[in-house]
Amino acid sequence: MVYKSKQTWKDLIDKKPHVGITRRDLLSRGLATGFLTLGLPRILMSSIAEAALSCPPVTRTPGGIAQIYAQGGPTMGARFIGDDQASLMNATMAANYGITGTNLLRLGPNLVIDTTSPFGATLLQGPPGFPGGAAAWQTSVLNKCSAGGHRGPFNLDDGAGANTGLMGGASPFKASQMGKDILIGVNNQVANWAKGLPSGSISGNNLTSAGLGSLLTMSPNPNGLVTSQTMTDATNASLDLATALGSVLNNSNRNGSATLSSNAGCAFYGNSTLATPNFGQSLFTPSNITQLTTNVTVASLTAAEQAQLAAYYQSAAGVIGGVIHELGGRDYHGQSPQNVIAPADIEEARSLVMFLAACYSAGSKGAFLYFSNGQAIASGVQAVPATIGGTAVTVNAPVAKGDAGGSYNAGLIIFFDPAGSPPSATMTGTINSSGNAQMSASVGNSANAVAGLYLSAYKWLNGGTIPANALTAMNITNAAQYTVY
Amino acid sequence: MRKLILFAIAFILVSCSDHAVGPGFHNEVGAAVAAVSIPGNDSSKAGPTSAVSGGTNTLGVSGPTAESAAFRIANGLEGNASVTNGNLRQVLSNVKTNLPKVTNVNNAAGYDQVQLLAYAACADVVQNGQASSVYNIQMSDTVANNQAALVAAGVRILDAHTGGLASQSSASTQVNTVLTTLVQTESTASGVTTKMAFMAVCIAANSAGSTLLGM
Repeated sequence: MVYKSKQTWKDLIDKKPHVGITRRDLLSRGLATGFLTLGLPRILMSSIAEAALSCPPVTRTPGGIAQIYAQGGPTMGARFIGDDQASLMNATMAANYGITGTNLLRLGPNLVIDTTSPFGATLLQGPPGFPGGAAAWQTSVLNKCSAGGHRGPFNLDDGAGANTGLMGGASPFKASQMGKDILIGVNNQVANWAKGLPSGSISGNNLTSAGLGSLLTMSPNPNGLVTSQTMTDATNASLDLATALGSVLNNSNRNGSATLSSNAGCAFYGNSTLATPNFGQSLFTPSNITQLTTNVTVASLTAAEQAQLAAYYQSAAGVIGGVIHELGGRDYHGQSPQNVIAPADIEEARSLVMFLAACYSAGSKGAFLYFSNGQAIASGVQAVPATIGGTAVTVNAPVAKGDAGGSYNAGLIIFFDPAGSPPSATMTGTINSSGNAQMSASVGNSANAVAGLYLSAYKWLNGGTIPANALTAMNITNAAQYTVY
Repeated sequence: MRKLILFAIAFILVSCSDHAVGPGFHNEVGAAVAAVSIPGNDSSKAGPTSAVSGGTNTLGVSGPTAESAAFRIANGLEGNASVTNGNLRQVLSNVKTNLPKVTNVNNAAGYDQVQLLAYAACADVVQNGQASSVYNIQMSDTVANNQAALVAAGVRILDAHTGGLASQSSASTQVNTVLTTLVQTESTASGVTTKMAFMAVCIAANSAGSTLLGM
């Protein structure tokens, strides 16, 4: 029902339509209007964006994650082996792996080394200058490690397996301040899910602190062009400009506009840090990092080792995601145990030492992955002189004689827990009396194995939960089938 | 009788007519009432709400992806920086794997890299002398004395991104105000040269034009 009421101007007679306005009122209102017309937009422009932009705090998820890809297939059995392999050890298996088999030492669950192998001796020696020496290194670090892996699916030697996606990544599945990984010498194809992950890449020959620093420094050098404050001012202005022009573009009514301003604006603000002179190099110069110099005589390391130590530390501290390092020339069968094989094995073990020293120094958990395409089968060992960390030693180097990834191969992972409770990880695949591996049917192939080991690493660093975005990226719904813990 | 019928008709017409009844007030009977919103019908729901051809797209903005970000910046600088030359080419090569990969702003990451491209492109413009020859910046003079040219440079860059909206739309005054504020901030900051002030203007305009406007 509609009610109608007839009204005339007389009905308003008791409400004066206008109040009287004086000259003084007129002037004061004019002044106020003038100020608001000229001043308000500027006030709003300088405050709207800042008020609307609530950037998350810098995210540093502690936890080191790194991978070595030993391209070409070295003697994987002469790195470390599982508890089952150690218990089954015999002369034949030892000869095939290229270890003595009689000098085994269990450092942690599924983490057994031959103390006289190039790899094992290097691991035991630890970094130079570690407080308490090698003995303390073993109890404080090595005995706080465990290992796992998938044995069997990495059976394609050399070129057949080189580009089968045996490298992964950590960002963005592991949040970090810089939000990217460091790739060192990565020439072969990474896993499909890892293609395009945020990263900076340098060649293996450029593995120095300066080389790594260049990845996190503005190019060209910001000196004389911008400062951190200039970058912040520019970002403030860019947001204000977007607000101003956004009114013309009707951005306030366009879905996602606020998200874009927030995400991009906050990302822009992060660049201010990069404008700090020598920001990148300071990150990767270990002598600048007190936590490292406390535990390692940095000056005794090679330039490459210093760069690795710092990169691993920044991963462990949550500044960067992970460090993926491809090492070529591992198809070393038939070559000199003294001049080629032992130095290569020592180099890989030193990388692991740097990683563990970095995690220990950062007080962070760590996960170190170790893959190769195939393996070199050996015919025993040869005692050779070697130099480990500047110290002359004699090691029993593998006498690698040929490709035999189909006999034994493994994708390995080492977990470190500064609290001394690393996970009890599993080694999948069965081992026969010759040391040969039979892949677990549930793993199926190397792609699943790589994904599963990376998921295991994320899970370990993420408090036992696999990040959902990693599962999505890998298109895996049954993670437990491929993880090792 | 006829008079009675005419009176009745006139009464009905007057009673049922919808003519204006004079000024009303809210809450008064017979007066217009204030509009009320329909629940859920707000601007956040703008855009298609159901699947459309090609899939759902509930977003009204899109971000730049991959190399397109660099091309946008080069266009904003009217080709005075190029993706095939100089710092922009080098930085694009370095960061291209880190640039946003999707236009969906909810899922994209890597916008920080877009600003680094803008920085590189602006550095090209400075180092190649175009800040002076194209944007009329007198590098040897003070920031304050270059204020008008710096503001004009920012407007020109934004115009290139927006088809002239920066100087010819209702937002032009606000755009000028923002750029003037930026230049004045740099003018009073310690150690900021005209070159650095131009970099700030250039980065701001290209960051906004290439990304923040969402087009």
